[in-house]
Amino acid sequence: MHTMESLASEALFARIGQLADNPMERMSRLATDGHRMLGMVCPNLPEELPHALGLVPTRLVLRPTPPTRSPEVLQTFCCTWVQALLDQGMRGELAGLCGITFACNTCDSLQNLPDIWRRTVTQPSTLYSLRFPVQGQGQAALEMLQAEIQLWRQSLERLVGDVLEPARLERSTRLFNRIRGALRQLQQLALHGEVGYSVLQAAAIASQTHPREEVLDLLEAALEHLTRASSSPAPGAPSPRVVLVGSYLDHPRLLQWLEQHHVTVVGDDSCSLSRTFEPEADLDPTDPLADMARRHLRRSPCPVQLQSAARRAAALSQTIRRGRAEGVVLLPYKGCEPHAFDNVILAQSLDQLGVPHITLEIDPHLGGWGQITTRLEAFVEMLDGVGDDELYPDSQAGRP
Amino acid sequence: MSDRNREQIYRPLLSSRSLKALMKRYYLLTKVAPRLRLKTAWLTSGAPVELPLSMGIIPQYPENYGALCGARRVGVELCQAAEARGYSPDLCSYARNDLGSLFAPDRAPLSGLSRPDVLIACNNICGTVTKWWEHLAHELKVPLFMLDTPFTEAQRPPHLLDYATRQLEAMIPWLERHTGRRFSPRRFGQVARRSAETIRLWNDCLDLCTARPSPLNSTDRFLCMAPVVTIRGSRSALGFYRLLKTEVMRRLERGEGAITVEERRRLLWDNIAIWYDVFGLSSRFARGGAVFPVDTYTSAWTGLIDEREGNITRGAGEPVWSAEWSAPVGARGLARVYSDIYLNRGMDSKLRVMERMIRHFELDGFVLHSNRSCKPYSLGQQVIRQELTRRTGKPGLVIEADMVDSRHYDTQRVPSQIATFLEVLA
Repeated sequence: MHTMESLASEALFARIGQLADNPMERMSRLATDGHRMLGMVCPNLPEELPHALGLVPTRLVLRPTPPTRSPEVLQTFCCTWVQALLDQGMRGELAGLCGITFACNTCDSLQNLPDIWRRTVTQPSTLYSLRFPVQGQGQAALEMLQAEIQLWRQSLERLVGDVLEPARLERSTRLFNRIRGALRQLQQLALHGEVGYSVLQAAAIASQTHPREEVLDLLEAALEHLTRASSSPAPGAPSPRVVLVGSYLDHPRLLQWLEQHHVTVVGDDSCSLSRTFEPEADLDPTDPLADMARRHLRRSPCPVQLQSAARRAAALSQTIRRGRAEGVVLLPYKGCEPHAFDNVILAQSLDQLGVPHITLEIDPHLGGWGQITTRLEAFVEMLDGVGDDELYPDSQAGRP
Repeated sequence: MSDRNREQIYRPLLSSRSLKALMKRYYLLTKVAPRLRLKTAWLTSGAPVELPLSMGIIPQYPENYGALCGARRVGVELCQAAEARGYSPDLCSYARNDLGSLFAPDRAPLSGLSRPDVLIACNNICGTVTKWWEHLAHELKVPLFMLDTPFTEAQRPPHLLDYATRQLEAMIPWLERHTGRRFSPRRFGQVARRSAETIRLWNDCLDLCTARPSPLNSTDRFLCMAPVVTIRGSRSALGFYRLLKTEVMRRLERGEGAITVEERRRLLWDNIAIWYDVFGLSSRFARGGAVFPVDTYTSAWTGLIDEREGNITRGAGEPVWSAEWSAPVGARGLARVYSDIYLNRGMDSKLRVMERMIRHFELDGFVLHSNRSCKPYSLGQQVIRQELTRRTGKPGLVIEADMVDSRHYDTQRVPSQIATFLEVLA
């Protein structure tokens, strides 16, 4: 029985994995099939709004190949993610999008991108920049963001030639809350080693890029089978256990490597994973439009925000304790200033906690893969030597 | 380059002696301020200094200090001190230099800046300052006020002005609380009027460079901008710019240019100066008869570049904050000026300003410093170069460097690029 349930969930997760594989190619096919795909640069943008207007919000997950066109216009010191994004635009691979919404007032590379895009990329040409306040507190920040969301709403209404209906927004809100709930449930299972974090990663990517109704059906069905398959409480994830920190953790290769080397990921602080589905990200379905700005301000801070590092360090410490992690892998994109700054304080905090950590500067195509894996191997070996008891001496639970 | 060789090409400004004395007094004051129990604040270059200055709080500027360290060629060492503490070498060199001076004061000129009582930052110049100043607050354990003035690609919508206005109104009680100094509308009015007058005089000096030969070169302006950045609103800054304007006008009367050789080419400089080679670089151009009558950097503190009027005649009309402070009018005026600066606007705006500079100053070409430490200035420069040439027919040169970290400066390639560019212009 359990085997049947496991097989069923595996098949469903495999299907989700297919949806997460090469999302921008899939986006083009969906656009050809008549879906109106809206590119979203930042996962903090409220997806419910474009969804309620009949669009498919699609976070821009980049193809893992080195840029060849963007070096014509962008210097090498520009954030590598922005270089890769512009490259894909210049190659025409994002032409299926009906528009892109950028997150402005974030980092300097991203802030300058729309202007460069307009002069170097033909399609999509409908660009919008939604500005976030850098400080997440106070009435002034709240009202500023509310006004920004209203302007974005108007721009989206013009794009689709329709008016936002409250009932549709409420339906979209309930749908996205359910997706987040499912992802949280999946994360709990990953935390106990019942599924790999790569499964969660694929589910998160699919749920940020693909038509959501289909993803939710698959996710809920897979979770149901998986829950039935687990008859007893999970014993806890095997060692060594690590937490990942980074911006967009979209590389299946990295997580697959960790899992192949019997490293369990027990949590993350990343822009594309848990921050997108934390409970604070849920919206009040009864008044979602008013709640969007409040939601942004109550969410865990991302590194572009002021005073994010100390709050992130505190949250990371909890994630480490909760997952009984023995190490942390910091994965900043080369050229990403906000993460590079925050990582200094995160590293200090980890040193104080006595948690081993490694910083691997990466780019979206994971260039220098050999060097990355060599350093990871050394780190994992070192973690094997640290042992669970050294970090968690008071805990009754031994090593699984 | 030796001082003697430099003086053969440059016509030294007499007022530079006053400038040196003024900045020496200013730095001395900042050094003794803690012993005199005066309150000090560190500010970003785009922060509204008129408010703390009117409250008797001594301003200090890590960016200005970064320029000083760069010019003294200790920037690399200080950047490395920050890198040794985990800061990426890809981060802004002003930030690394500044943090490095905290970690290695023994290697820092003047042993670094004096410890501040408060930090005041404004992200109108870049997003980097948000994180850099967060780290300063973390290291120094002093309170930070962040004035958030979001970037706009086109016209600034009213709600962003409201947002900045409310923050400025909040800054006053915040400063009072953290420094114990009282805000006086009357005193603010005095400082604001002096600030406006200082900016007007600085604008005049910049505008007088439309003359042929140009009375000032970029190097002159890079050095003379220090008071308008750091202590605009003070009597001493005002006095200095009166002196400078008088000297510039005297040069015009005598037909004296900034360089001693014939001025054959007039160029636009874009971006922050390359501080460790500020004289060497200009002299390479000057030897070929090229001067920079205008630049986008020193114009950033004019506060009044009014492209809405279709010209770049700065200093015309009343500055918006010259009226005595009466919230919210005073705060809104400040909000407008400090939100709409050159770097806080999109590429269209930058192109319009540069195009007008090229026409108004009758330039022959332009030089873009691709500065790896300043993304707001540098990203998009390849596009700007093509577009500016298309609009004006003038050629452009891109020089890759960094404002403080000389490890990114190719001393073989840059002179060769300049020589080729000057040949093209000839």
